[in-house]
Amino acid sequence: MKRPTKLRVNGQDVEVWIEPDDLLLDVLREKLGLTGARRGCETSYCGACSVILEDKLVHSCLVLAWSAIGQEITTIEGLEVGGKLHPLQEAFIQYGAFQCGYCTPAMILAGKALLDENPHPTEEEVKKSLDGNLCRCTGYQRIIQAISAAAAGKI
Amino acid sequence: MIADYFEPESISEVVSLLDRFGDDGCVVGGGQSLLVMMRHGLVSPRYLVSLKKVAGLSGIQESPDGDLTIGAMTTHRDVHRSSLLQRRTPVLCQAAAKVGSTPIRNLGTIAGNICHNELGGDPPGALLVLDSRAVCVSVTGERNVPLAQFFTGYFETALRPGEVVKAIEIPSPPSDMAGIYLKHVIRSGDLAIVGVAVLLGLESDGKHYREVRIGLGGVAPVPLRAHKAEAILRGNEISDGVLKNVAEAVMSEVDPITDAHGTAEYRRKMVAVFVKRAIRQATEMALQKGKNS
Amino acid sequence: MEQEFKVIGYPIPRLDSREIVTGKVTFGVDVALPGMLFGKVVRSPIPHGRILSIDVSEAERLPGVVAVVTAKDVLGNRFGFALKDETVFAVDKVRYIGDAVAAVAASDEKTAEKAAGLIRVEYDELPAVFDPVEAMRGDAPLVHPAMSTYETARLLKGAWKPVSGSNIVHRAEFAKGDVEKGFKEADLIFEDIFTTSQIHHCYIEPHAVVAKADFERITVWSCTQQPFPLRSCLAGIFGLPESKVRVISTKVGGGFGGKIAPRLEPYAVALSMKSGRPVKMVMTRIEEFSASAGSAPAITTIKTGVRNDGRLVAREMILVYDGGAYAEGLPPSNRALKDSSGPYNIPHIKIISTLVYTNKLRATPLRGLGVPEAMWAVESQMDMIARKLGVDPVEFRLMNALDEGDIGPTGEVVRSVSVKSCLRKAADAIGWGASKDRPLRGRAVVAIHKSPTTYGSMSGVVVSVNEDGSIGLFVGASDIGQGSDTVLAQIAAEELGVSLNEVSITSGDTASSPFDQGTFSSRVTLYTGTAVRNAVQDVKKRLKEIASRMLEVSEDDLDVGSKCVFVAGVPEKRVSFQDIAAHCHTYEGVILGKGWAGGQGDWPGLAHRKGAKEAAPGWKYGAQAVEVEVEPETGIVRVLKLVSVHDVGRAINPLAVKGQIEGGAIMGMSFGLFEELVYDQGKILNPTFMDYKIPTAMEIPVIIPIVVEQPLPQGPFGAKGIGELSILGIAPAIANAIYDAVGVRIKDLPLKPERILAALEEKGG
Repeated sequence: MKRPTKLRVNGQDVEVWIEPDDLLLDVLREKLGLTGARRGCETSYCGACSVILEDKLVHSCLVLAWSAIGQEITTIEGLEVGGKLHPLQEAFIQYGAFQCGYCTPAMILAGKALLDENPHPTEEEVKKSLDGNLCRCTGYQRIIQAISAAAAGKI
Repeated sequence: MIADYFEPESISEVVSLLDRFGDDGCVVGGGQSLLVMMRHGLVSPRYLVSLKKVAGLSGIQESPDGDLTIGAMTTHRDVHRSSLLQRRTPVLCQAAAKVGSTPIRNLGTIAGNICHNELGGDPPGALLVLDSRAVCVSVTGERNVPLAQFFTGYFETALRPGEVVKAIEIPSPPSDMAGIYLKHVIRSGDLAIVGVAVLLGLESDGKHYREVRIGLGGVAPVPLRAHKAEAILRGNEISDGVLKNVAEAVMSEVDPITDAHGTAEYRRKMVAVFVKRAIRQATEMALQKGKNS
Repeated sequence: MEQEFKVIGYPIPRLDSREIVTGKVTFGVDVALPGMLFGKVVRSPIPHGRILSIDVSEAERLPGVVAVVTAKDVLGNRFGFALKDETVFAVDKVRYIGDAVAAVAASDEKTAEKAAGLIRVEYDELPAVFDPVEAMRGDAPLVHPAMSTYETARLLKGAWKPVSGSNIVHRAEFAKGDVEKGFKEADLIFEDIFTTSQIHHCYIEPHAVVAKADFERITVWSCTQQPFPLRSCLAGIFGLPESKVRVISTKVGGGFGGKIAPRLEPYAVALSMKSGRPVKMVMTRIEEFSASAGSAPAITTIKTGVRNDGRLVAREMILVYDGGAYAEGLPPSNRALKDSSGPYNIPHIKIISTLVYTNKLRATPLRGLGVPEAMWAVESQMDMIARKLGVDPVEFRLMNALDEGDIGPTGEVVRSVSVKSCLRKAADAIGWGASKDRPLRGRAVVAIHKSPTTYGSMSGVVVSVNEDGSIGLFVGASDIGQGSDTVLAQIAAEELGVSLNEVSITSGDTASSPFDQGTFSSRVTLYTGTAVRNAVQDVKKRLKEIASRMLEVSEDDLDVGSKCVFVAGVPEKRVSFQDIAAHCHTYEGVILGKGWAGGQGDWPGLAHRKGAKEAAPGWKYGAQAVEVEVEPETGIVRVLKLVSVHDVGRAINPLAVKGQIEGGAIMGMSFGLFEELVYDQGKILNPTFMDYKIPTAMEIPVIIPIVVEQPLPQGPFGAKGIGELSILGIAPAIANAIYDAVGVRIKDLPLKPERILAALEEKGG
């Protein structure tokens, strides 16, 4: 049974009709056209679906859409403001921290969730913040460097 | 196909809904295990009863006697970061820190974890050495189930139909004991091939074990206490020699499986390695504690 | 760099950077068309069996289901990019758990899944064979009894060597010199057997395609690495001319060889034809692991003869590749003939490579194309030989490594060789010879090489000049994430003397460019890059030709630069590209340039021209090194530091090159330590990211990529390419480092903790 629902996405209220078993990932992609969060597996291991809920990185394939009502949802599309890229986005570009780009939004959001809480992480802390996000192309080193550079204000 | 969901604000409403729906109903906490099972068709509830808005299910309380109550909906992240638990039950904080990955810990709950009871989960071993209890509620009332009796088989618990875990109680954890949780995995994020929680305390002479508790995960159909191994250590002298007997005892107490992560043979060997390691490290910590007090 | 370049050689961010970091990329799964349906494949649950009946009636009745297709809905044309051994749906029998039997299209994914579960297939189960050695025996059940009736693709013309009436789909031999003579001359002979497990590509984007087709026209959006071969394939399957088939490569979320062959396109097209509506199909991750394709695992017997002074004299290798149910493993098993013996000066070589059918998930090219399996054996044994001789393993390799002008492994003269300098750099960077900070640490250095893809490797490019003087570049090779679009645009910009943002590249669409074989086997920078350069040189000629008329000056007196054609030495006397275009569009015609380049040869392409003495240009050389720490109690091996040195000829984009090196090296580490598809009677037991391990950021070592530039005269601005190389040597380097640390030798991949533990226990450690 569909219900009209208000979700708060990237600082704005949006109205969507959702079913009780709709996952947040599918609502974002299919109903709101926010396709930066992606599906890569069915066991919530790859992390390509990651978004930020309130201030926490979560796998949106493991969040029922209705359970996110009343919470601030941040997707990759919310990072660019007025045409200006977020420092993390700039850092990823500068450091070549992506290749195919499929996991990139999730990685950037993982970096954001970390830096918003811990502005000066150690390298170990950066790695740990990525422990729920898989990448097959880059070998992770540049992703870690990009997040660290953004943290150090080098961007 | 979920027909409807409910977000009750009291535990009595929760159990009344569960009673009404019977097999068609299911609670959802953090959803980190349930939604995977639903995706694979292993469970197909028609009604979901969310615990998110139920008053009093999150948070950690300490009674005047020092007993701890951890609300069912407390996330692994919050267990790990709780300064109260870090002071009183560091072994549990270490276990919570090792669950899955960051996003899973952000939403996954401690009660959800024990109710799912997946082989190689981290909190159970730590909760067992803390002699924890699960506070279970249904329409017929409340009961406390010692965790040692809570786990009954792979993915099985002693929860009755219509019952939900409201909290986990830890009777006043002894402050003079040292605890450690060690997890053996080949790759970050995996379920434990072997998970070992140790809580131990020394005699005042600092040379003998007064009390030893060993909780194991990943090596048997249920998380368990290694009673034989514990008995060998209790009252015994701290020595490398006794650890050899402990290793043998613990290997005989486990019943591991073979799967894509490791053979039963390997798990058995590893439980010995990690029990010895954990005992050594916890003993060091206890000796330090003794010096500092 | 001897020359001053303006565009190439700089770490320029990729052209698609912004859309990647803002999440605005269109992958296959993002394509949406009006009326689009969702499709699912019905797959065999048994490894080998005859199909007795298929009952689709219940599925057809399910509300929301629009079309169901089986073999009888599709022409029975066989396809396959090397050997045409497959039909869209299994016709008489299924050959592996996962073989496609039917497909269904419905209004949404859940309905399609449900309907797929309602299709009832009855099988008569047949005995199956799962082991390649058993499959080669005379009494083994035949996976393809009709093998001798199969046709080959153009690539294999005349060069396919099956053993009729068996499961041996291909057995080929290559010899240089006379190994028997060589072994007689040797003082010591080493004979060892090495094995690898089947691994999976694990691109994070699952296969996704959308097909819009009727009986006259097919349009397919696909995550393919090879739009043109896919077009030919679909045209052949559905009996249409290629001119009526269009393949549009969507952004590819990782390929690594796993998106070369068609996986979902034929079903999507069949469903679209039957339903009259566009159909989208996406693989689940479980499907990817259990029903797409994996690598070709090999059992390698390697026999090496060496003299007491350390010189290699003879090497014989017998590689048995497990091909699974369909013969896509032909390219890897074939590449072994050229590359297996390693970058060494060995007078006598014999390679026998065999590909065998079994009732399992098929093998397909996976990064390295069969060469990682061979390097696993060679570079492991090289260390074993060095240790036995009492020679330093790096010195041993330097003693035998190829030099410029040597006769290489194919019996031809090799040029642009840099093995020794790469070895020295790798040894230096890993701290070879320095004392180790802690016990239980080990180091190793290995040498690697890979041949250029000289067969089935042609690229055509078109360049146009727009009315405002900006440039359009039309390329058939899709960018699969490695950044080829940017690299090719850089080459074009450099050649034409314009800035990068003047160039707009369209790639991977069969409707907008000439033929290109595709993106695989590290070939795009070298071949498509050269074709780009040729096309731009062609357009420069055209520009000069028109400008000479406009300026009334001879073409020979003209130069091109800064978006103008000007009189050499008299820059004020010029016309801009814009002026030329305006003039041209009014009076002359249009401004187009065309170019092509590619390998020139037949399978197996040992010489790019028959009887040639020189090796085909573009062999890539490198060296890699690791430092590991072993935990004897648990068998856990941690890679602490990893060095990967590659001679790329010229790094067109150093940022992209280093990224490729790092990513490939980690894939090599993972191949060495973690990955294997675990089978039980043909069923894959670990088809999820939980149970099939690839590393997270927590597992990575410090990675040191080192770029060496020894320009290749025949490459675009000297570039050779990089692609797959960095996967090749890490696994044997780790095994050698484990030996260095704890003295145990393991010959089977992956180097999982249990194996290390067992080896240590056997040693008595």
